[in-house]
Amino acid sequence: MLHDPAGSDRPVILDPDSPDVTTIEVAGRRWALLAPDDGGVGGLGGGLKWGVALGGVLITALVIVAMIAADRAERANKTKSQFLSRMSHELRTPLNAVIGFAQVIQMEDAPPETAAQAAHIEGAGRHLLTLIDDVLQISRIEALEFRFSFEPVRAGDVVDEVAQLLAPQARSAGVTLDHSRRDFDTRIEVDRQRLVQVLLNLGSNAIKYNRAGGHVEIGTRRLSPRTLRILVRDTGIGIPADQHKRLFVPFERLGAEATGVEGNGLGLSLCKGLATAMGGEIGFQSAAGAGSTFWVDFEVVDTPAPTAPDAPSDIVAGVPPTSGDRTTGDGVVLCVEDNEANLALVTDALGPVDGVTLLVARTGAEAMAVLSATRVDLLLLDVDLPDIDGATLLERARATTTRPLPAVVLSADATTATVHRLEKAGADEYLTKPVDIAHLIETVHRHLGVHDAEPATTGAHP
Amino acid sequence: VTRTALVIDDNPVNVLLLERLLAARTDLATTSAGSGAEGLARARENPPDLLFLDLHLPDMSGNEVLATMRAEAATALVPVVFVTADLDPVIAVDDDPLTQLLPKPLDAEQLVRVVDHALARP
Repeated sequence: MLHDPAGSDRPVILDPDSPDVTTIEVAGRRWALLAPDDGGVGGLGGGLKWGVALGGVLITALVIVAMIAADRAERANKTKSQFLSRMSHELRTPLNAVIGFAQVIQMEDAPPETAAQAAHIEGAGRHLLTLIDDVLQISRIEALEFRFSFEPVRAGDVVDEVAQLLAPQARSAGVTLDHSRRDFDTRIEVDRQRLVQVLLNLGSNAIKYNRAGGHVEIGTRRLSPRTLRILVRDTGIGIPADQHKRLFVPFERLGAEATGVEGNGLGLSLCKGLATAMGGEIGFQSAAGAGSTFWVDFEVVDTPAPTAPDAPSDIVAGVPPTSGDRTTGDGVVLCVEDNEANLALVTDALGPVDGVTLLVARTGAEAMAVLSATRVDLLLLDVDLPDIDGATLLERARATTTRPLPAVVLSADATTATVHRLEKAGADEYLTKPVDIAHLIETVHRHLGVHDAEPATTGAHP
Repeated sequence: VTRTALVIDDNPVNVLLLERLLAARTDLATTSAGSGAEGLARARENPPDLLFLDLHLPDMSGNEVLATMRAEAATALVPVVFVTADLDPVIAVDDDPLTQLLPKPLDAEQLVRVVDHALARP
């Protein structure tokens, strides 16, 4: 009953109000109890926490205890992360003077010894800054407050970018750097910027802990049809087996302090946190004196045909429905969103919904073109568009019609000033990302329903 | 041709730092104001070629200063550089080509790039 009646692999969203779903209230939240054969459930709707396997009474009691513990740990992590956020801001202000005036001294005609001392102050200040940033980032990942922007990414693009960014460091260290372009077009679903950060960190280690004339390779291996490994291999000093267990422990530099190689002892912890949070699995192989290989494994996403605006589909970017569609009485929803992954989520969610015709636009310009060409009953609006800010787009969109045009804003952060501006500009509602599909469908139905109740909603408008 | 930069920041150490980091730019004359109201008055009276703006001022936010400036003809087109230690700075107008963001602690090279970019506009 929890599976898609159509028998497809589409994930099913649990509805907490459905009689088929048993929920209990623990630690102030509703939890779904799932039977063990309910595997494959895709998500939880309506603010539900996660599901647990429902077994005997004892098992259930144990699970509830574990749930309370998990909930407390989650809250504690959030408190810690918020504290660190504030502290980070407070630390940055004095560091501005420390790092800033150290730079001023070096720029002015100071005696060489004074300039060298100022350089030490600047270096220590910057080191402190990376520590603050990295600690905060790790804490935000633990507290699940770190926002990732997932999208299908070509492995080759990432490898190319990382190799290019590492080239200067490799040159100055006298290390040769190669990158392979195998599996170039293989796609994985990640936050590109964060994956680059992970690989830069691994690559930078591979160069730093190498020897003059050494070699570093960045590349990919297709472990299976479903799994892609992105790896960084070096011919460096390697890591003795007795230190392997402590490698990802924060501030464990495994004796590197003595080597004079700079680092803050947080890089690998951060890499592991970022990789894991993106669904990747980080690992390594190394032996003293024999170099190291670090990797992250990701599941391969099915390579779709390149999403060109003219992709053959009934949901076509920037193309209004034929005039015949206007008389069907379908509510026309225009989704303006530039992130392909988010767009895919919305089209998957709303595409099959009866009574809804979904149009998409990836830029403000495309959106205005659609609006001027056809009737739109509801706007779904991303706040971060490449060519225009959401509030301005909303104002212009409303100016194209004399009819009411409700707008629902999709935002990754409900607290930003942008959202407040959009509310001022007349947005009716906002949904936070990641978008809860059940909530999205309910919201769209509600807005279209209101609309249908009004007389003369169709046909009367050009 | 000497151009003018106005710094609006209530922290005198930050103001001094900006002045010293920009000292090598002999083509740029720097003045400062310690509050939003004072800064706006100066900007109206003598529109600068470049404005450095702290996000958190004692009497108003940097965003409010910016909104006021953009609404007045004399200062509508002044390039503005927000200087902030905020991790996730909330900038009211983030797609405005005349507005840039400079994170604290300041980096001398980044500062030069930002200044060049702002002054390169006609």
